[in-house]
Amino acid sequence: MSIPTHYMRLFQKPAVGDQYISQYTAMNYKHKISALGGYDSASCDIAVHSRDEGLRFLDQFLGNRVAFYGNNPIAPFWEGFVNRMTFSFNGVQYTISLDEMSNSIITLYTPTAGGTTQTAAATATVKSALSQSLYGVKALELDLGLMISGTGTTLMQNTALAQRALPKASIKSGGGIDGIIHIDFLGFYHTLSWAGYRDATTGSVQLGNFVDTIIGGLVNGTTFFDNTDLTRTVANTSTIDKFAARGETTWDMLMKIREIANGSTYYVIGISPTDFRTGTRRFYYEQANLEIVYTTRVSDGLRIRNLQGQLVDPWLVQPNGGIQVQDRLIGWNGIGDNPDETWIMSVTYDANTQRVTYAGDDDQTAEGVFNLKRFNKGRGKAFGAARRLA
Amino acid sequence: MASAVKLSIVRGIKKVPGDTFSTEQGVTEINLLNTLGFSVAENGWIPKMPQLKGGGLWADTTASANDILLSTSFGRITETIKLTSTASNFLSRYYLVSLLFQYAQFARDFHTEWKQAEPVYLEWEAPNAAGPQYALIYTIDIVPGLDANTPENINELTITITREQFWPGISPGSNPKLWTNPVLTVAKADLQSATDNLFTATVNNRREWNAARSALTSQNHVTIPAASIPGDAPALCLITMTKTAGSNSYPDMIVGRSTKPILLDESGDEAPPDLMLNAGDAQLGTDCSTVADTGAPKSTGAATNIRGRCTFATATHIARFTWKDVATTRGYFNLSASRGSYICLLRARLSAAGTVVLSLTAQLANVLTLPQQTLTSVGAGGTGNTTEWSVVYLGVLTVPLGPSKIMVSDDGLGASISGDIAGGELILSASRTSGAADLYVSDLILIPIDECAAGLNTGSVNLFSTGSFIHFDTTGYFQHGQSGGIGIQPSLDSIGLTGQPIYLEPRVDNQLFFFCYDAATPQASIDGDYSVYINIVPRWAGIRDV
Repeated sequence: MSIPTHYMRLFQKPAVGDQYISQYTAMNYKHKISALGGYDSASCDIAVHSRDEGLRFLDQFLGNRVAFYGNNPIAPFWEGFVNRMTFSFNGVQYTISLDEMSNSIITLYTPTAGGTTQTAAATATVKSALSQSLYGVKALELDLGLMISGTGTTLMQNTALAQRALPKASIKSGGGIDGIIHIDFLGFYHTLSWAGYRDATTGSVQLGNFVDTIIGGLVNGTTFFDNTDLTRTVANTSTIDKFAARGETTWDMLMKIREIANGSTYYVIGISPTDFRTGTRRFYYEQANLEIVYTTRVSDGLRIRNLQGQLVDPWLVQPNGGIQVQDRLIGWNGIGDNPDETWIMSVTYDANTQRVTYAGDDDQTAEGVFNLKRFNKGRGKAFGAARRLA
Repeated sequence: MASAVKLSIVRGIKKVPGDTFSTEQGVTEINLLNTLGFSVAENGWIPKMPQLKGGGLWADTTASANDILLSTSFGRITETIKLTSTASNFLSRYYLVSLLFQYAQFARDFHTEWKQAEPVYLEWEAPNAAGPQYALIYTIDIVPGLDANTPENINELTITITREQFWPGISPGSNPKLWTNPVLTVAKADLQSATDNLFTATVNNRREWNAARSALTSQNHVTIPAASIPGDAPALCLITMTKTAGSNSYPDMIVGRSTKPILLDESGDEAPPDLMLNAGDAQLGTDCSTVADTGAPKSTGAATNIRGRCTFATATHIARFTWKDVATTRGYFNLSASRGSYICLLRARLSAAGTVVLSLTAQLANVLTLPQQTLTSVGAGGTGNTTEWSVVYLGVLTVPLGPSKIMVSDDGLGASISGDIAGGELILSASRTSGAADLYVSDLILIPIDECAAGLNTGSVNLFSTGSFIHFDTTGYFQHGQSGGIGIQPSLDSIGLTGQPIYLEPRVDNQLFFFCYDAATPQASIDGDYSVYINIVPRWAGIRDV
């Protein structure tokens, strides 16, 4: 049996449309899927036949939607968008990325009015309509600190917009393999970090309703997923105050809500795969699945099997479920957490080695046991608490 | 090597005889068996057999004595040919080397540059072989063997060729009908013609038995017999399809291959590859019945068009339709005889607005339930073939439900199929969570994906406008000699195939299962009658024997 070839199917940029463009063989493919976020990141290499073809790819396809297929022709195993590309040819390396792009900018400052009272202020948002029509809204908040009101704040804002509105390409000599484009992809949940969330009014809200409110008010609307489809957000009657004025991103807010949970149960959030029925993706906010869904054995090379004992294709292994190591590595006296079982926080897959490694949450015992046998790389917690701003 | 019939390095694709306005460049070649020119030294070339890349991909664990083989694939072949060249003078000798160098450039450029569209390949006919065989060349390196200043008019050199790992029976890029028609003329070349193909069949977007259960009257699969697929390496194939007049046309299609042998069931009958399960053939669960519906397929035995119906007097999630074997009765589904991995699709719809939750459970000693899916669509109700059912993707099911690839009995007789109820069940469970709609079910469709399965997704262009054709091609014809699978839609635009290109397993019966639908809605009707033309290019790892 040979590994089914992994194909990258390229579509239009989500802000532009959903048309299919082309398909490429994905070489050196890797991906990560997380219980917090869903499809997290991926990378692969594709081959082109000329310098012009490579540069045209870099010029046209940054931000485009992709889907990766293996042996199942109707369900991709990873989806996201092109975030960064590097193309090498004749000793020159070209790179382009969305990382530093911002097309909606606001500046925050505390005006020095000469008196003893200082009140935080913000400029109106400036934006690039062209960039937003291509890539969606990717916001930036510039904190200028203490600064007198006036044209300086808006000049700074406009300068930043002029510099950042469109992705920049860079060139350097050397590196890479000729004729190969290395592409890094991000899952759609990353776009939830593209805009901030603010509500200057106080009031108690139920967490489940709060999630719906945040998702429903996204500045990118239905661009990257259907934010009007809230069928996968569950009720949570625990409450918090909805005041949010620290400049957190939407993702920060959702992670905060997720971590608060309901006092007893772990929650997960993210963007679901494209639904076959609707052709759209949804945001999910639901309780973690703590049931054992996979088994594995060290003597079997830690290959993943389902509860029926069938091998699971490594590119199809999912987080948000439990895994049990069935040939026990250490004796367990029944006290405390069972180190042979762990809840999968994230999985990473490497097509070249056909190896999938999985990371638990903070159960160091489980990770430590795996590290002793050198089958999993040690990794820290994938996601920490929401970013805290002074 | 002197006894070989032919050995040449060829560039280009032959024109079809009689095609007076051909835009093909035609072929040029370097004959390596010329008395004046190149010849192969004694024992100068021993063709290699394909080897596993890197020895295969293994999982190495210190906790077990045995490594675990994960995956295998064959790499390209690199081999040397020792040549001598005999020329009438120095300049002619130098020219032969120069010509070889130029062909080496053509070979490389075919794979790396847009400008060079003519494949370069080896053509070889071994002594007593059944015919010529070909291998696409990737690179040629040349190492001279004699001092260029020597006065002899003979030269020795060694070329190192990297070629494809198998030998197709026709030259790269050729019309695959050439395999069935060795003397291919303009009259026989048309790939849209129903004649002169290796294999022609009709497939339908449904499956029905006759009333006597003695034969299928419609089916969504074709069986290509083993005798039609010679060789010892996966055969390349061109699958061409067109619809009959009046049939619906859809923008999307799936085709899956299965070569697993057809097993005998407990009645002693062949358990056919029966992977479209009609609601009319299911055991009916709570609140379920069958209703006449000309938009649904005929049920086995009764030979009348009926659909399944669930009224949800009990709205909870329980078994509604169960497909299983029936003792000594042909035409029912035997799960244990159907090992493999399958995409599971359900054609169903609601009678009115509402929400129904569906899930599929396979029960065969073990129990496996696929994730629940939601159905809200009323489809497009109609009569006869105008009924558009909603297509629900239920997930992927792998049988048997355990770590083994085949069920083995403890009766000591080896591989076994359980009969009757013990043969296993496929259970469709359903619950209604909103509204007051009934659930209507047409059929459950299983498409095998464990060997190879491809999807053709045009997005919006209907695959089968009247008189148009689509092609799934791994022969390289539509890519002018380049390898890899490709789909061609009616406007002759190429579109990517999702899944894996379709190759045929040699010397065994190959079954191809088809399903057409509209992924955008997603919907499909039972209507759909398609002509399928199949042409193959067999391949060998060694010398051709057919």
